[in-house]
Amino acid sequence: MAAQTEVLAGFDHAHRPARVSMRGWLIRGLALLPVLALVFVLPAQSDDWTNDAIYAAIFAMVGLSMNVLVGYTGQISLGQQAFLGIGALTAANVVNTGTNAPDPFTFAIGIVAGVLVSAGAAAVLGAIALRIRGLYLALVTLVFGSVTADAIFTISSLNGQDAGVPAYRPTSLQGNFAFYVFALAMVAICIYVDVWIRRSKVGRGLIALRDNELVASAFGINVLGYKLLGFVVSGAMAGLAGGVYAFWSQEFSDKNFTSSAGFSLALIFVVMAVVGGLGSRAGVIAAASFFALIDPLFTGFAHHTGWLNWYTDHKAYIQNLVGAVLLLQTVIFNPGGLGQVLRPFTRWFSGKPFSLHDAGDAAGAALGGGDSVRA
Amino acid sequence: MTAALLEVEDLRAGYGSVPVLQGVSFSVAEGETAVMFGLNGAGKSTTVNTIAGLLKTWGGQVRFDGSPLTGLSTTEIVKRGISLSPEGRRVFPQLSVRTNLELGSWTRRSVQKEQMAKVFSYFPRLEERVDQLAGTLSGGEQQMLAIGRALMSKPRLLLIDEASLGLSPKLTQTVFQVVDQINDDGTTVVIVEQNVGVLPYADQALVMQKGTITFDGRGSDLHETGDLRAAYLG
Amino acid sequence: MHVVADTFSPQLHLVTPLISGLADGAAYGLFGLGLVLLYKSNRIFNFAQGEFATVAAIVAFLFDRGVGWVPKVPYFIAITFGVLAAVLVAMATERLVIRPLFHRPRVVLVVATVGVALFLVGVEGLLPYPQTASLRTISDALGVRSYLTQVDGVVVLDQDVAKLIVLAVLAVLAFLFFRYTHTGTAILAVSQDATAARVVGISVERVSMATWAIAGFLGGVAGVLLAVPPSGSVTPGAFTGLTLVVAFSAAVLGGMTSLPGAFVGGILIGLINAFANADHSFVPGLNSLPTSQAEVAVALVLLLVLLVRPRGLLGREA
Repeated sequence: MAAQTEVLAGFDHAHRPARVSMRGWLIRGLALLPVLALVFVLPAQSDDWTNDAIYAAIFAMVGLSMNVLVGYTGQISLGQQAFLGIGALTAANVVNTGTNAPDPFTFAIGIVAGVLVSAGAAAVLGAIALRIRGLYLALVTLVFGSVTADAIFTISSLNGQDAGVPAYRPTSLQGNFAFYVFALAMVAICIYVDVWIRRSKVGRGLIALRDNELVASAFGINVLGYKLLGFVVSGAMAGLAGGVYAFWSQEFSDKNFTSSAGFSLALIFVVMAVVGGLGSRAGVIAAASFFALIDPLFTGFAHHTGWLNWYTDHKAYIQNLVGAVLLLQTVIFNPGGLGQVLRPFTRWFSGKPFSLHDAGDAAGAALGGGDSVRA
Repeated sequence: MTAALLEVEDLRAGYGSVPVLQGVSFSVAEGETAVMFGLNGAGKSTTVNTIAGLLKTWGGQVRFDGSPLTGLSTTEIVKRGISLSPEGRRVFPQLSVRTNLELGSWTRRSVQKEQMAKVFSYFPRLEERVDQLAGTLSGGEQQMLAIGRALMSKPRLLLIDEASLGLSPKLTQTVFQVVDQINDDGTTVVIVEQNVGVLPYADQALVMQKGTITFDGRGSDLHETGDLRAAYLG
Repeated sequence: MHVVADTFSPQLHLVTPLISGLADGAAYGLFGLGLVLLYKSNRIFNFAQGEFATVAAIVAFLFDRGVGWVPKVPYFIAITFGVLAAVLVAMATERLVIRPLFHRPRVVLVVATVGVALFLVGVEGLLPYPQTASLRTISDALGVRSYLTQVDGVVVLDQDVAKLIVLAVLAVLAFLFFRYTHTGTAILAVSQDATAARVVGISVERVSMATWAIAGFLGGVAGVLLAVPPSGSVTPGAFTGLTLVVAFSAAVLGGMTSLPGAFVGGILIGLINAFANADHSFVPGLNSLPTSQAEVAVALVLLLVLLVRPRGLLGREA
């Protein structure tokens, strides 16, 4: 009733949206330069490095797909390699130009087909999954992943048997760096789609869903529909990664996706998603890059320190150890993973003041004891 | 005046980094029934949980029969003769009534038979349902089971946390009467309650507000002074 | 499996899968026991169970052969050492990984066990020993003939009979343990309400350690029985991957909370697996990878159980 409006007692000035000045944006832009250098300049240094960078981009997309699944449905996927493979298999088979370079249109169709078929398979998995509770679902994803790979990727009419199915790139993308830029564009698309969904009305429904499923459904939010969406988008992204993978290696070979090779991939992906911090895009991209680059990094290191032979003989096990230690360390001591470590920076880049303390979002909650991850 | 069985001195404790008990001091004489009143969040459950060893003490001391309890495990504390019927009852839902009771004498198997007979005499309903799964019992029956289970180790001090929650008035009275009987039979009782219907059975009355004791006197005194109303209505 | 007769005879189509199904089923059942135990007690799926077995097999192998600086000891001492090693690894897992995560969502613990499995595989892989070798069978160690009898030309191996007997005995013992011993009851109590268990004076830490020690024991026994020719070996990661997945399916089928169920589920899945692998190609073209038909069959069984009757055949709750 006072003549003047008073600021509410207890109004928290720290949470008032800050305005970033021109100078603020300039500083952020400058800080972005090393990141850009890392992404664009470093891979251009040699063909090998570009190759590795493409591999990292592929892993990044798989990581984002796992993020989506956890974020939208609270479930973790132990069989994501199946979707990667489905995308690759489909893209290679649809393009089907043998050792000739396809035209860009056919290529695009191939990639899109990979996305769609993978999304479709994910929808099937999702439909089944919705009726299965908690932990058993993780088991189902594991079984689904390995069975799909072993049953479908081994169909001789599809997989080109021993020689594999060739998947040559269109002429414009034959250069490694050009293909790398293409891969980056695909990563960007994945990020954009995820951001777009989460910012939309759908995204708000998802947040409500994650916080309390029962209440959300009482408010008319179509719980099953949203969860299905999670599976489909996740499958689509992994399928896209698969398409890129097929044309990166320029072939589809079932040996990369079946039995123990496939199982290893599944495990790497889980480790990557967890170490990245479930729910953090930046975190999972960082983790994915790390795990994709582990082999070249360690090989280089081993080369310089004279351990090369031993390393090459044991590389799979060394990578297992590294992954395992990082996974356990993250789960036990640092549930937010890399995402939590990076959060002060990602928030700063998006225009907020730099602060080491933050009300984190899904990442920490997912692993730290909240209800975000369904079990 | 009988000797103090339980002495709590400047007790401080909390959950995580949130302090709840801000220096709680009181003592309970052997053979008496002490009732602790207070609103939700006042610290009543925290107090009995700390005494029982479920929570770590941050400061102060708890002495039982003269010896300090600080730092002891729940196993040790139960062995010394303190037993808790916890908030929310916490029966083992997929084990039978019998097994629930048997687990109560985990630390002192020798008294199992004798105590089970006693528990059945206090709560005949439990004997009727002895092979039923505890999760299928009604709220009142589960409360009886929780108290019965706590008695199975033949405790000298029985702590009861919120026995009347969710119980009908009649059932609540029954439970209070049985607790009175238990006390008459020699067990010292500290009962945390929000239901003032327990007051007639109280020898000692404590009121807790915001982590400290604001009233410590005889049960009859509380009735007269109206501190209780003050404590509840602020 | 261990088919001696190569010719196609009508009986072969039933006998071979029957015998190999029972033998493999015993393997799945042995793993299943450990999986069910940890599900009953901790409500998690232990993805490291296979590696407990591998550790036991490797240690037994090292002591049986006398590799490197490891002294050669009699066979039965060697396998005892193996099982002991598995127990120690399991207890270490409990102390270092499970206990810090006790109150987190179950799926976090499951992911952690994946990490433990990966870690163990990594360590195993870096050890210098012939990684493709196999452990000796009991009949080898005793110097007796390796097979008991032949049924219609199909050999019944001693080792397989041993697996079945051990599985049956352990299943019964485990069942009795939970029903009638104090520790067994305590384990159940802790799994149902850890706070209440503390309230009655049970040491939750000790119970948890005991539970994992038993799980390690069960895994270790599985390892020393299974890492033998013709199909077993002491390769790192030998028992994770496909075996473990099928073992989980077996446990779910039998009932994830039922120890006798692990026995039943194991045998059933073993038989399903074997019959699906048999000479008949029900779906032409699907046979390219030898195991794919069987995998699909087992996966379908798993799905069916989870959708229709999640508590499995003998389980009392999901």
